[in-house]
Amino acid sequence: MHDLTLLLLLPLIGAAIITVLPSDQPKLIRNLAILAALAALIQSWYLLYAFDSSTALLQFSEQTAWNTRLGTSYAMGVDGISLPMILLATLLCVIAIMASSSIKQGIKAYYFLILLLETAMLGVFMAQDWTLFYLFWELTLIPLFFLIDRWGGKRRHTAALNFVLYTMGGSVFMLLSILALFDSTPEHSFAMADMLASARSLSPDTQFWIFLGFLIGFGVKMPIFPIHGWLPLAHVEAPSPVSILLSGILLKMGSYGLIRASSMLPEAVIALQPMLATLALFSLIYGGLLAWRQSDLKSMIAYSSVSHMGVVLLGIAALNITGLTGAVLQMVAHGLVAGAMFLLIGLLYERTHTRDVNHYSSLVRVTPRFAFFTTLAFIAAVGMPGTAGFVAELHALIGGFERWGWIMIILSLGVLISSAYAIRTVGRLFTGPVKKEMQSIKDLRNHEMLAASFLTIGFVSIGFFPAPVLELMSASISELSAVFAGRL
Amino acid sequence: MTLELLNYAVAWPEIFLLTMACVVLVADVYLDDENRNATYLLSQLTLLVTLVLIAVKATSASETVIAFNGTFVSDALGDVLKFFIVLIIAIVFVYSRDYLKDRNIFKGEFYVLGLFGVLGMMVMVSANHFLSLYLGLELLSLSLYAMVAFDRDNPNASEAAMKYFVLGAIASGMLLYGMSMIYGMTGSLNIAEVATAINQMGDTNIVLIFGLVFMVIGLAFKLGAVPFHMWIPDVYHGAPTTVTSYIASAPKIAGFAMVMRLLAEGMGGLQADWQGMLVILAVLSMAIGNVIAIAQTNLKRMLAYSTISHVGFILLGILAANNDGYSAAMFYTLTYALMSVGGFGMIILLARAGLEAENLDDFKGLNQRSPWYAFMMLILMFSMAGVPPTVGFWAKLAVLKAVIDIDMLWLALVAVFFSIIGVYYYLRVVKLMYFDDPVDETPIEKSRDMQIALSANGLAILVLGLYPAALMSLCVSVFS
Amino acid sequence: MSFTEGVFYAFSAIMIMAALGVITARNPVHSALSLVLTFFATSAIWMLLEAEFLAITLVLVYVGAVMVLFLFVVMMLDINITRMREGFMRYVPFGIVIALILVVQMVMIVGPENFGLEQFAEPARHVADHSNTKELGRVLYTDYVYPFEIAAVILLVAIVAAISLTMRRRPETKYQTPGKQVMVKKEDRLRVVSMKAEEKEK
Repeated sequence: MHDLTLLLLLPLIGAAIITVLPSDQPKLIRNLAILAALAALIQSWYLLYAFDSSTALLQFSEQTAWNTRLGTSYAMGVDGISLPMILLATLLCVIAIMASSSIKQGIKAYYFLILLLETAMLGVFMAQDWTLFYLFWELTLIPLFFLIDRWGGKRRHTAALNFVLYTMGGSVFMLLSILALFDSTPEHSFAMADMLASARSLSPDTQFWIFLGFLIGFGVKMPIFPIHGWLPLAHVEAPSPVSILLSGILLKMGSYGLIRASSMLPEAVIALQPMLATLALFSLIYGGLLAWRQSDLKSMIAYSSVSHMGVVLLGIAALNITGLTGAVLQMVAHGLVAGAMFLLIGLLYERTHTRDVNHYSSLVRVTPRFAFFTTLAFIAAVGMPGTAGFVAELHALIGGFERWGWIMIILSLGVLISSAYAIRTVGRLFTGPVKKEMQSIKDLRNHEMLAASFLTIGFVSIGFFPAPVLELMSASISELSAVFAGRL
Repeated sequence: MTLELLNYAVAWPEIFLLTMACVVLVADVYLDDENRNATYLLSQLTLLVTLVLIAVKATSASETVIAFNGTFVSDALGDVLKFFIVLIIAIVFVYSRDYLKDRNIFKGEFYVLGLFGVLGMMVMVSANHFLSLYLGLELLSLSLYAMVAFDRDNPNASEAAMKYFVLGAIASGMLLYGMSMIYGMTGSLNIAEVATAINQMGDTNIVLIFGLVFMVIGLAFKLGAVPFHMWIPDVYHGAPTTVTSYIASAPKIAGFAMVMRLLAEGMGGLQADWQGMLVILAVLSMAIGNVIAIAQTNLKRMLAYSTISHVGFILLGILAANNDGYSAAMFYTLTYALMSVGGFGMIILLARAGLEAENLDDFKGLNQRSPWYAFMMLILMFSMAGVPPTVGFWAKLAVLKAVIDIDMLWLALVAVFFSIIGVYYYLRVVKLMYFDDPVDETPIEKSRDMQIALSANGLAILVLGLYPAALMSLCVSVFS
Repeated sequence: MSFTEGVFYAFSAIMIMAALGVITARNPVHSALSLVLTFFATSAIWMLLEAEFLAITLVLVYVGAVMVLFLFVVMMLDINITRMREGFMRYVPFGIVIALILVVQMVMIVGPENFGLEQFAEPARHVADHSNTKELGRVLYTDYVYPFEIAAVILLVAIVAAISLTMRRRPETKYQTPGKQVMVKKEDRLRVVSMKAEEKEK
């Protein structure tokens, strides 16, 4: 069996077995889910082992005609941009499942849906056919709709519906763009490679409109400033493990798609470059300021995601090697950091049932482990040297500087804002006057600490030794930037 | 004039169906109420054999044959559509038995009228002549009027039948009026001859255009496209659910055939004119259908408005006026019929003596009552909304592709805009089923055959979504 | 104006007046009778078109059978005319608009510019002993056998529909079964009981 199909199937098989297990055996179901996610993780590490990072070509490719009438095919493949995403997705899925011990009701459906979601997300990153991509893209909505609507917070119904309608509303524009591209593909095929060739030769005007469709579709997911409305609500109302997946992987699907779309339509991206950069900087500042204003921890992290994805968009908009490297690296970094933050805040919420930062105080004495990991996560969120975020933001900054010069001061302003709220939050949580009701909180359990340390090790080690990760994606990114370099 | 010229061999399925419908009619008279099941079984057997006959005919001779002196055409398009019509009505019959028994209207006439309706649809599908088309339509409509009013003691049903009858008669009148103008100009009722005559005359002849307008209005009435949709919600709501599932499914396939025969084959020369009319109808249907469906609390009415919006999508494919568009519209119609019969089948499943289960609230907490059927309904709703990987997605994709192919991007934008609105009310049903607590906990008890058929129906939507190629190639092959 | 044209216009005028009478007459019986007159005028016009068979059928079937039946129904049912007419005035403006549209459209279409003699040559007159009926019969059973059969099926469906919608078995209704009555034997109804003769009182 092909490696990628196997990776896709592993969570799916786990999900299928879960459906036939008796529902009065929660432990068994949970362990099986962890097992399936771990298997996928191992398989993805095997991919990394077998991956040849010296070439920008697609690897582990497989292709089977699916619907010859429509020109769709089951085509999979990974390159240096999608492989980091796959590694991130499999890791975060394991973490999310490990952090799901507080889910008590309907666990069978819960783990089934999480594993289904994992399959869909992996499919998005591996698909090499636009219809397959779209299929997996939409398939992520179904489990998420149920996960938010069934296990979410008070306003979960609104959140789930908002989320689905927003994403679908965006993705149909993407669909239209895909169809428009297909229309101009002489081979009559949806395969990304075929479309790539014909799309690049389109007139700049056509490219512009098609890219706009993609931008709306992916922009909703990323999210970019004016179309981010679903994000705070969904992140806050979703159960914490789902928030990990939402901010850790789902948002990356948007930026990943945007990178793929821009490589197809270089003329359009170049034409839209100033607009993208403006939107990026605006998202950066806007997200940061709003995060600062939040007292709800989860919505603070949610808005900080808007800010961090602004960095990703900025890196993409720079259209040079450094900028794009920064973008992809920031996707990984933010995946790990936001995952860690949602994990820790979620665990804290389980214990205190409040997310209001003002209710907390001086936790460092009661819960030193919490304090350690949370502080690290927030430091990483700011982009302190020694964490992955720093390397990523530095790349984005340099990439942007090459392109636009001193305007990049705004990026630094964004970093400043984020450090302001990060330090404030850490201060509120762990220092200050002792509150009685906060004294009986249990510290992190061992398996929770294991999950948190996985992520922490991830972003710290990338922070100190970014070279292997950069190496992994360098070939693909330099090929990608070459497309623009010739046109700018 | 010899009998050979009639070529009646290609009409064996119709001839068999007519004979058997008469046999069922007579046999039913001699049966007691206790043995009414025999009527049902005989009707199903009839449909089954008809299905086999159509399949045999389609595989043995697929080339176009004109029969009965130009009034009947047998071609691949007709064979495929007839096959699906018969198949879907067989499903409707399976769903109907328990429902009718619960309401003490398990009578032979339902099946007899149903069979005659199928005959009417088959006549419409293979009409090569305005006259046979119109007569087929009337045969279908007359059967439907009677079936809607079938539950005589139900005032809603009688009112619905009355409304359906009056509006249906107006629509038939419009259609006839249009046909008479076309006849006046071209001097022929034969569709192929009309097409040749129109091609010679060009598309500026005012009489032809007026005739076309009336015909399109008549077709829009029959299909239920806005602004000629007024009857749909009331009839769907008022009719017994089994009859609704009949009206909402197969007749749309026949309607598609009617549009194809009249507009695409007969009046291809006036394509520039009817394309514009269909654009208006399609946009209005998608808009009104999807928006008003949101306000419905009755599932039958909601599905009625959703039908209207689906008709809009079917028209999108037809107005592309090329083989891609026609096959996309055909694919959409066939899958729509399958989804629709499944959707009403779910209502029938939950209904029992004294409860129609037609309100959205009746679906609350279905997941707790029966996870399997909640899942089936989920598939159906997602498919109607066009969410992958269900077949509804491919249908919408194919239609949109056809519209973009003819450079009407704005129309595709409008279509996706309204289909997003549509997602909302389909999702609401899903939400009710999965996240609300059931209002009544009565276990779902229906006969085994209905359960199997409904499960197969739901799974077919999913399987076709995963492997759409076969059906899609079939739809493409009939137009090339 | 030739004689034929005169006849045509005369009957057309009668037809239109009578048709107006159908919808404006207050009394339903008058209305029905106006419809009879309309049919008569129509059949006369059909005669002018050499469609003798159709003209005669119209008179025989519609005037002779359908309308008479209709009149019976109107007379037997006690229809409250005033109530039925309540809505009439309300819908008159709407009706007038529709009628105007149709008239305008008719004028645009059915005129000499579209159907004049320049466009369509005058059809040849048939010989005196030409049999309309025979012609009709021939095409009905050959060229149009398929539509003809379907029309027959439609009638069958109409019968089935009408019966299934109106026939009710009322258990409380008493009715006779002539078959059983005829089959009755003497033994079923008559019992001969032998009794001892009464003795005379003493």
